[in-house]
Amino acid sequence: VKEALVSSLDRLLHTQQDLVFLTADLGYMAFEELIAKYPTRVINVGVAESNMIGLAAGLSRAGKRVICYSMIPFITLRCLEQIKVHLSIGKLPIVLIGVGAGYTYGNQGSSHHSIEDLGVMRSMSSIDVFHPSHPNELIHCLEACASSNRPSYLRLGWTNAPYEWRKDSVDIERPNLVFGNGKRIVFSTGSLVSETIRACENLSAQLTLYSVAKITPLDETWFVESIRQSVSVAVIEPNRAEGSLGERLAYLMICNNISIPFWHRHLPPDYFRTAGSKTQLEDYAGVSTDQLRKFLTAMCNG
Amino acid sequence: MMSKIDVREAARKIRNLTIKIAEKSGTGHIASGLSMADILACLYFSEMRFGDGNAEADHFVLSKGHGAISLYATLSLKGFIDFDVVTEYHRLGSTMTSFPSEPFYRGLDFASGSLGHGASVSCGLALAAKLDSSNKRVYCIVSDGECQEGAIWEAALFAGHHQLDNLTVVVDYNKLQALGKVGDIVTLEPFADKWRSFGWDTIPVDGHDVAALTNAFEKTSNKPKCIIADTIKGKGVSFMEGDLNWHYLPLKGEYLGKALLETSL
Repeated sequence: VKEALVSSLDRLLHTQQDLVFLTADLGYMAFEELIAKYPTRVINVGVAESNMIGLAAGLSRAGKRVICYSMIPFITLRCLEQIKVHLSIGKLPIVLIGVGAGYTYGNQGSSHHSIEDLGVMRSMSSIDVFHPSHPNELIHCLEACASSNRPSYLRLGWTNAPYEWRKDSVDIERPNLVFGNGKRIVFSTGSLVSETIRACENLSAQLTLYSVAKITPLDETWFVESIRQSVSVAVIEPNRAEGSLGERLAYLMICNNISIPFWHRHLPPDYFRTAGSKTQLEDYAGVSTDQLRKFLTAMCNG
Repeated sequence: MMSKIDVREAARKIRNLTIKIAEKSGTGHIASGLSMADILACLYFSEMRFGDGNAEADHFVLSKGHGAISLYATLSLKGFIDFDVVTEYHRLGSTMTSFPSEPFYRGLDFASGSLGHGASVSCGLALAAKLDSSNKRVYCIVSDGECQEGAIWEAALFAGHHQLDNLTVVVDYNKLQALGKVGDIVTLEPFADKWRSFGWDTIPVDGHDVAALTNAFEKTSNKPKCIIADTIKGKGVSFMEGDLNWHYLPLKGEYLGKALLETSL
């Protein structure tokens, strides 16, 4: 993911001379070459996320394209009012890249866990929200964000073992079909797509799995039609239920009188206050590969 | 460019228009605008360039959005917004909100009202000018109470480090914030020393002395500039001056007549 992000940023900085990339002092062993290559347009603004969003607003109003980078808690919650004023009200097409979705930084402690940011950012007006599951999907999302006239939030989580990518191009506006043509439909996001693929072994004939990279706004017509043609639907995502993709799809089903079983796996609402790796904490949270396999088996048997 | 006497006349007209806008709307936040009327007059009628002829347009950011009523008066006097539009202040459907909420008009580039944002935005505008090798200048007015926001000092650090010498922040130092005296609530002193220590060329001036303000604006250095404008809240309307209540109260009855008279002289 890191390599995909850096190479994609390099490409964008090379082709878009008006692009400025701001980092709030994060990106060790990632952005050093970019800073050396584009010293005036790749700027470490220091540990000051609120100032970074204000800087981005000024740069954007002056005609620059701006991408801001930090860890998720700091680039979303810490500077949320700046995001409201400049991205939601001002509608400035600033791209926010946050790293550390869910328990990506598991052992760092709960201040570094990001379970609520997706719901928070989905609730902000005018901001497109993306959560890619694969390095190639990330590249498509970032390119879409960088050329958009709308503000955007790109939520990233590291994946140790990304799934095999089989596509040359992706329509980022709609879910990305990972496999299957079963009548039971599964939507997953971020790093949990890889876990879901592993959990689907021996079940793939019954399931259709999609990676949903663009979470806000959704192509709701597409979702409603797809869900109508299925016998059950599951959503698996590395964030709290409040404001989640699953919550939105459940709402769409209710509004459209779709009465089929709905299954939802997400992170719990409270924080873990003890140390643990991403894998270990996901096990605590009930979204490990084995737990997802049981969950999907129950869905298939349901 | 207007003469300094003209700038004083512009400041008087800004105050008078401020009272007229307040009269029609029946709303408060008047005194916060009056304290910066001389600063606005200096900027809009002497210091700033608006892209006329070959000159590049400077940027202005009102960070203390609660003084917007006098910015609207200034933009009207400047001819950027029709007075008929300005007097719709606070009316249903009007774009003239108490705190600017959209950059609808020339000279009004950012929503404000949430304190502490404008200095960072101004740094971004100044940085963009540097990247473009442009000689655009950026001006920002912040309030004194606003300088209790940490974001102001994040921006101050950034501008000092990057030597944004095309940026001028003016602090409207009227020494009254929402619930009392700044010095009693959380003091800013030694205020000028703080800005200087952050790498700013810092100039304390009488914020109602047009000549002193103009001299401060004209001073150049290789640092960002902070003009600490010593002002009086409600300046120009005798019963409002230094009275916290006029942060909130609307003008009515005999008070309205007196304010109109005093600002018309």
